[in-house]
Amino acid sequence: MTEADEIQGTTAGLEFEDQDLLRSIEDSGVAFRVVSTLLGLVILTAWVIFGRQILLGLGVTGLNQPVAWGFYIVNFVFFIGISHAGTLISAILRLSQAEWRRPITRMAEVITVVVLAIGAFHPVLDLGRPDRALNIFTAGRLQSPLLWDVSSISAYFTASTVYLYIPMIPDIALLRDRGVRPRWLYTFLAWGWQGTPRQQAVLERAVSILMVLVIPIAISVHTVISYIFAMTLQPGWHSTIFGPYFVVGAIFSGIAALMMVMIVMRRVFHLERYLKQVHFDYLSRLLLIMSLLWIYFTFSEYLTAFFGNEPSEMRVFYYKITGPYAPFFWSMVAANFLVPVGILSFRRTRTIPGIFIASASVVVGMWLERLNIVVPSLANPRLPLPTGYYIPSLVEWVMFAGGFATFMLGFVIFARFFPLISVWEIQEGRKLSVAETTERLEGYLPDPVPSSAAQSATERG
Amino acid sequence: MIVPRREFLKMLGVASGTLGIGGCGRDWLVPDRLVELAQRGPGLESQAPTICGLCESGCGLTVRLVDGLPVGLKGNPHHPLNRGGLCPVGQAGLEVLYAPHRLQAPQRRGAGGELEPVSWDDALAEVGDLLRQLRSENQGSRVALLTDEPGQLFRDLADSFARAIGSPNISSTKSEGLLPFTLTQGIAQVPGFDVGKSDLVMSFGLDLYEDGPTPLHAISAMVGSRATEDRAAHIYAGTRLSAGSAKAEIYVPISPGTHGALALGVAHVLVREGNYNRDFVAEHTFGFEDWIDDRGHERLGFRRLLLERYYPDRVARICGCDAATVVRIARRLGEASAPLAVAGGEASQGSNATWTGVAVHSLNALLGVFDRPGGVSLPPPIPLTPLAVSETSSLEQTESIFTPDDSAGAFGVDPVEALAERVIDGSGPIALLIIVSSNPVYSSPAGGRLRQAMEQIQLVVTLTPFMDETAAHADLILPSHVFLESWQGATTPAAVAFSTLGLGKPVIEPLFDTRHPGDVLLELGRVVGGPASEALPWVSYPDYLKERLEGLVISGEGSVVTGSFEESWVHFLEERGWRFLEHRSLENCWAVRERESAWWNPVPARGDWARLFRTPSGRFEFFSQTLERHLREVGGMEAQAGMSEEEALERGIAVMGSQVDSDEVCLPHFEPPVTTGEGELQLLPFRPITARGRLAAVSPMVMEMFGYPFLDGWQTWAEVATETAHELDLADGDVVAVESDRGSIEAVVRVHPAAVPGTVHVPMGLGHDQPLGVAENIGSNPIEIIDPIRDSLSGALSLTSSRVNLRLISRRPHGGPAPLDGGH
Amino acid sequence: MSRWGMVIDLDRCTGCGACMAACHQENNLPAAGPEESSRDRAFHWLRLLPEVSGSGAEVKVRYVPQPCVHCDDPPCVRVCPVHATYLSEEGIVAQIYSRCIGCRYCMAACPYNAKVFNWYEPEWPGDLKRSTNPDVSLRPKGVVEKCTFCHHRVVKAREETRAAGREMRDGDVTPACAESCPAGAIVFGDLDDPTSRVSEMTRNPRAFRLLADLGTKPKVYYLAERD
Repeated sequence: MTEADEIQGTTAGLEFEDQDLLRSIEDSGVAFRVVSTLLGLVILTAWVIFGRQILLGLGVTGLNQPVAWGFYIVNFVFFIGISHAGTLISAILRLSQAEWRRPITRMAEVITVVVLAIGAFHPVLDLGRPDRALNIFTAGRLQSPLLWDVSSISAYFTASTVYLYIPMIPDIALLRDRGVRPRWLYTFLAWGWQGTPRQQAVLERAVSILMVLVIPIAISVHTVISYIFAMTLQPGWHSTIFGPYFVVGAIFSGIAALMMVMIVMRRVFHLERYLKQVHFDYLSRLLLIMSLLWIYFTFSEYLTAFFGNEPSEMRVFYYKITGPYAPFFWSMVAANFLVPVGILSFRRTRTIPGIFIASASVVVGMWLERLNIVVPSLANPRLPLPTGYYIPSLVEWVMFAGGFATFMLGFVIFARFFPLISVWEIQEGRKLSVAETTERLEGYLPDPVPSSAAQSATERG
Repeated sequence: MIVPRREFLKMLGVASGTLGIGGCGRDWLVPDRLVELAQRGPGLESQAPTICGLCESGCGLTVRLVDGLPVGLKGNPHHPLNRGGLCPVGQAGLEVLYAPHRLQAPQRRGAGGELEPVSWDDALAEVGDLLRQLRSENQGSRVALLTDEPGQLFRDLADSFARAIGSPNISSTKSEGLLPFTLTQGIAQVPGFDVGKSDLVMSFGLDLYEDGPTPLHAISAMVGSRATEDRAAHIYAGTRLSAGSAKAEIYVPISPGTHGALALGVAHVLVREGNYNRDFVAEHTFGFEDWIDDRGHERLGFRRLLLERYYPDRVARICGCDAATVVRIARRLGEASAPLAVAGGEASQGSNATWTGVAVHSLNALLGVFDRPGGVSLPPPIPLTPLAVSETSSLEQTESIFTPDDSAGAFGVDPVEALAERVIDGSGPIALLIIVSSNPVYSSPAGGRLRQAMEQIQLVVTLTPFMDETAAHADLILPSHVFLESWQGATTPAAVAFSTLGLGKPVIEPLFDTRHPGDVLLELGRVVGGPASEALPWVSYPDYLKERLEGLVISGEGSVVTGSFEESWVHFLEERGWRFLEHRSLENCWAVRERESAWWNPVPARGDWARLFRTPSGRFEFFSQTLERHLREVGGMEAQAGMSEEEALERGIAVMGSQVDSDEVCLPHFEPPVTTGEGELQLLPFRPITARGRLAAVSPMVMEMFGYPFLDGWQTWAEVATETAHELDLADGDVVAVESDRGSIEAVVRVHPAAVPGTVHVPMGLGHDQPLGVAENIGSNPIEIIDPIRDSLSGALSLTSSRVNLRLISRRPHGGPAPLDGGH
Repeated sequence: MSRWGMVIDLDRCTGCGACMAACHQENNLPAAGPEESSRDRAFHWLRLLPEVSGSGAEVKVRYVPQPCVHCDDPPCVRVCPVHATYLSEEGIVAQIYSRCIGCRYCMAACPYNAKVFNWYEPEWPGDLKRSTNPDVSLRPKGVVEKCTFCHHRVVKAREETRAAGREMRDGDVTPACAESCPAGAIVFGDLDDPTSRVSEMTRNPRAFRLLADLGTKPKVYYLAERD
């Protein structure tokens, strides 16, 4: 008897429809090893390159004076933006009791945790003295927006890790009970979950507290990141709408990234039964709304700068609109607005491939937006200095690739050990939600006419 | 394990080298003893005064020493030239001293062309043997000496040396632009321009604050030492608005080489409006009004010439400026109480430089600014001990290789060109060429020819602290001290109105096995022996300086010395390190002396007209009789006897290639500039302040700020007007090839809104192909592509007459407007 | 307590670059070299800003020597996460090299672009390290550095006056740039002392400050050229 049969055997007594969700864990196969080795190699290269950067100095990048920030900060903002995919969306969906959330939340939360870790590491890449990074704690100045960032990112990371973990406990316990290896891992992580009503109640309570808590933290994270820029006096940065603008952008890119991941995972793990057209349809409507919101914010931001006609603002403005950054600026507008709106507005193009294209376009577009924010303002000093320029070096590209590889590897490893779709929530949905939703829907309906209510009461009685 | 610090640093050096961040990984060069001192010394700090030897100015320095090692230097606030200021190159003095590429021992070129070390004794013996041999064959004239070591004191010694070995061939490598003053004032020196008391300096082509003999003096005298209200105003006419000339109250952009015409236009307005100094003109000038010569012919006067030919409209047409501007400048000059007109920079580098110089200097005569404060005068002579005339002067005197060729008809020659050509064509069979503190292969337009000539010379010896382009082709390379290690005697620089004598003493012992050129010459004298060593009796160069300076003390002029000469000598050196002397006058600044332990009297002797004007007429000659005589001689040279003087004059004019008639030719007039090549633009090389002297390229710091007005470093740029850039479809930052008939160099386009369209200005100072400091193969040298033509009067090679094209090599690597490109 | 400030008289400045060179020598600024310089990584704590006004024949170009302007309300200090840059009680915006983590936020925040970064370990080819000023520390790679108003000279002057048993007087402290200026265009002194030369000059009607409307309260004043 093979091990798989044994596992089957242990659960044979139970009715288990969601075998698909556990296949990747119970039968990982060669593909996992190949993929993770390849990704590991990319990551290893990035680490070696980073080691060299530490040894030689930041001179190995394309940074200079005045463009003292480049890819590392762009990617920092970008990755942290992507991380809004998850926890925020999942929390909002949970909070609004959107039933279609059930197969989505887990993946969203994983994205958050993995990408947040990568994003949060980017400022360290960018440090001239990473060996002194701990000075932030020993000599930190809370007045500095960077410290706000450190605080809110660590809060967000903690909250979203917990928020990922807690709803995962019943699934881990399931894996433990099914005897999946390594058993010690699941036994340890399952935290003694037995599915008792008390445990269920605690779990639900914890999730509902967390989902409320995580929303303001998530919003604060990207607001504070925007403050890094907005708190300076630099043209193009010193803007009051930067907070909401960044948050909108973050959610926008987060949803796009989430859909891309979902589409890929659906294909790889054959999750078509779970991730259905309707899920993508709903999410893409959300993406469409965010796209419109994004163009609205962008328009306001640039119109204000243009109308004010302040010379140093105008230098940055023209640098983006007609100057050296025009290709990036207009591609950004196309990628973030024209492409998604063009595809997602029509049912005919709102197919899975269409959505994938739109999402990829948004991810690229939002990365360009970060680039458009960071570099042009630095490249156009207020004083009559030569306009700066920035050409990222190979080192920065490798680190960029390393960042992506880390994201993918993180996701792959997660998928190897944990279900990408919350099994218990699906099961719960199956068992309870139809009834619950019906009840809720009835709750939305106008109350019956009192007389007839009385009548029916009497009838029942 | 305890790693000694030095070892550790060495390891670090090696480590940084292998990491590929450009560490050169060289061992330290400073002698162990000094390193030891620096590391274990008590940390005692001291100050030592000395003189900057990096260019011909000779500014005063104060060196800061810790345990005897120089760690800093600054301008000496007591020195009358720089008064505490110090130019970027001077600031780099320590980088020159500690430079990684200094020559450390004599080297000799072996048979295969490779360099091998040689001892000083062997090296000097080799030169001495050749000298002895030549001298015994009475062929002293086959020795030539080129020296750019600054200061009259060294030059006197070198002259004595040349005389002692019987060679008439000694020269500096540069033509000094004396001829305009010789023609008008009859003097063989650049007179002093008292910019310190002038209230309006009109500069033709010269950025007073950047170029010229002593820019730091110009800044401190015109601006630094005066209250804001008393600051000298400044008008600048030229083709390029440099950082310094941007300070001019009026900037007159004119076509290249037309400075003379502008000066004459200004003179026209001054004369027409009666705004000139009638008394001075009447008493001290010659040729202003029409006059009758010896033979009763009526001759054209300067006044009539001006009024008839140099009216503002014509001048404006020539110069490409505006007639109203000409009038405006003239009125400003007329109103000023102490105006001055000076020419230099591009105006003294053209094919018509001498004519331009004469025209500009005639403005000073019209304004009557001679021999008065804020005007033109001669600095008093420095009463140095005269040198005994050598017995060896009885040797047969042959003509110097630097004597002008009769057929060319010029007053002088370009020394490098003359030497090179005459060696190559065999008319000057030089067997031994000694080049002291000079790099003519790099710095002269005839450098390429000189390099060829050097191959034909039996022995070429260079004395230089660094491997330069000239040394690279020499047979024997003798390393000399850098200025901080050596004794220096700096005498009044050109164009300064008062006399200075700076005495620099070494502030550190020589780091390497180097010698002072003076010591080398004295040693050679001893090696040659006989009369040569008798003519050079001094044991060492400081010994020589000591004897020469004794004259100052004996003369009593301005000496502050008490007690014996020995005492005063020591006092002199240790207290000040520099000295300035003037004729005694009532205005002796004793108070200053007491306070600053210095004595300075800037007031020269007045009323000595005979010294000021040594012309045939004893006056300032608008009509240059010297020139007329010369032209007649030149014209009559090839002619048969019985030719009339008029015919001779006409022929002379033709030989000279002058384009005006015989009436005008001896008067200040405008001679149109001549150019070579077919290019669209005129190339005007210039010397930025960051390229002063020979050794600026040694300093990484200077290279880093080389093009600081464009926030640039380490590269050669080609400055063009906005219009020109537009026409040629070039943008700031584009890389172009500057192409002349002679060749092509690479440069980065810099667009300047105030440059004159049709010109391209390229800084000199980069493009070394030898490890002279850090600038090896950095930038390019515009002199390489100059197709030189001669100034027909002075024989000097023109730097500004080549026409070039700009060919785009690559677009600027990155976008965005440059600050001067009007992008704001 | 003094509040140090500087006045640069643009009417006097001839753009000779002496201040820039003196700053390099005094403060041990390494040369970045041709490669790094062309990548805009040169070390200049003080530079000459070219300013163009007018056009055509009336075009005027002036060069404005610009060190760190030592704001009284410095944007760089506000953003530093680790107290590595701070406003000293004498008004000098200082940088603590040993604490700086090299995040370059101060560079991004400084509207005057006054700060420079050590992209690599600074180098001193051969013996050039011998030419460095022993009063000023050499910076390691990865930290931000800037004009200190020659703070070491302030310290030295204070010690000297204390040893001499007197109070500091106007003119006791001269930064390297001011000392080297042949035109006497740079004056340094105590802005809080109403009798000091700098205070007097700041009251000149020609006085202005760079980007004064940003409210950073720079302590480097300029005197505009006279017409």
